[in-house]
Amino acid sequence: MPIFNNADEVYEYVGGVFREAASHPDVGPKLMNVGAVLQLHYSDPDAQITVKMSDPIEVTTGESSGPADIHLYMRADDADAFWRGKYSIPMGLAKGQVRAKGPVNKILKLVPATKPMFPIYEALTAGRDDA
Amino acid sequence: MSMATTMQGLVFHAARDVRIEEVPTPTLVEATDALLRIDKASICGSDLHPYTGRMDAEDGFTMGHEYMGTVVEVGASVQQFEVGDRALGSFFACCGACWLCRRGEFSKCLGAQVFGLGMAFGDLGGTQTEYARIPMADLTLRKIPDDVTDEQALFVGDILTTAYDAVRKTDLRSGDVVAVVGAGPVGLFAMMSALALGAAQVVVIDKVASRLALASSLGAIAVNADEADAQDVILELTDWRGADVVVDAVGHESALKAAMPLLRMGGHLTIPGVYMDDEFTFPVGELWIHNATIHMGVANIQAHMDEVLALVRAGRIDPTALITHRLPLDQAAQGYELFASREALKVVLEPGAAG
Repeated sequence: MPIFNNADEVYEYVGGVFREAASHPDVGPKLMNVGAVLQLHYSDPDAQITVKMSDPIEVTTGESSGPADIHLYMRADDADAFWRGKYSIPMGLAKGQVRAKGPVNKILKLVPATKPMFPIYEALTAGRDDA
Repeated sequence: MSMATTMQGLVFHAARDVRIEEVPTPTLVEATDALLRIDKASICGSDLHPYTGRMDAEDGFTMGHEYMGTVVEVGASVQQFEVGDRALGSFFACCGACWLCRRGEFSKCLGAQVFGLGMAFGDLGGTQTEYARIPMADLTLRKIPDDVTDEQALFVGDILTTAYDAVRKTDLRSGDVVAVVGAGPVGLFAMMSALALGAAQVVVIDKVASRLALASSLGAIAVNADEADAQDVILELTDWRGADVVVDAVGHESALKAAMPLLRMGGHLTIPGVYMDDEFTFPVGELWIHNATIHMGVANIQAHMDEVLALVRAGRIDPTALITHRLPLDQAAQGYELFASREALKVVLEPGAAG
């Protein structure tokens, strides 16, 4: 059974981590520094999140018609595991579980900025995990 | 065997802020892992990318990826190694099973993890530590023959084979003339590799007198760019053709622009130097009219370590010539300062040595 019951839950938690990070004093500037539009395409359940990582950071949930620099395609369950520090995106890419499109240099800039976001995700999902 | 649950390791915190700390001793995770006691490690040019702030990296990972040591534990699926074996290892571990690995293009594996460079490169622990977990040990490690010393083996898994790979993937033929821009470790090892692979002459270009003197003592024609025109030297050597192979061993736009005019028609430009820039202006018309071939990217270490180890063992390449400093691991931060300021060429760190 999938971790997320529907797209709205993906938007609440995974979208939420980006929204919280945008206003975080340490993480926000690092995300802005990436200077790219990231589009996350999830399956099980299907969901799409677009994050404009420049000043100001904008998080859009649902279908977006705008262009993006980086596209990541993965299962929503794997996204949940990633934000809990339990899923390696490189290994996912090697196994074909994750598909990526876009400049690798910008992806490499983005990855180190995600580590300080793990506690944000943990805090966001704490209530859900307890339920 | 029973080991302490913590060990000493060099931890990255921020640019110019690396510290020796007590960190958890790694353990086997997969059946294909080995646990290596690090006997010697060194500081690689790519360690300087996070250290100098050229590369974004998160706080809190152990650093280092140039190493050799002794196997202290192996997973159930490891076939080539036993406890007690001396081994050197590649600076990265690859999955060994994906489409690219099956083609032998190990450095292009999407699942590759570089030791000690943080999350962006796979979040694998570093080797400037007392112990390291080595994934895919049968592919990542090589046994060190008894007649090869620790220091001779140390650079085979990284900088030496990176330089060798850069030259080997060109169309170098016996008797060719090679130009190397940059007399840092990768440039000097590229020079030594080119001679071992049959180059008649290798011209090394830099502005640091001590490095040029070393290049000259190792068999190169050394050119100080502040004092002579490297293009004139190469035209003179080649009957005005230009160099058959040019190595950009720096990784900076200025070096690349200095390298291009040295190339002959149909020559090969090879770039082991790491570029962190997103983009810059590139004289594509000049390269096109030269029929130039360009090679670049991460070296295929797993594919070429055996060749390089054989050359070292046979005495055709002496990697120890580049060692300028030997420090106990607990003085690693000082080693980084020496290396970043170009006071050191290769710094060897010894986890077992008293500080």
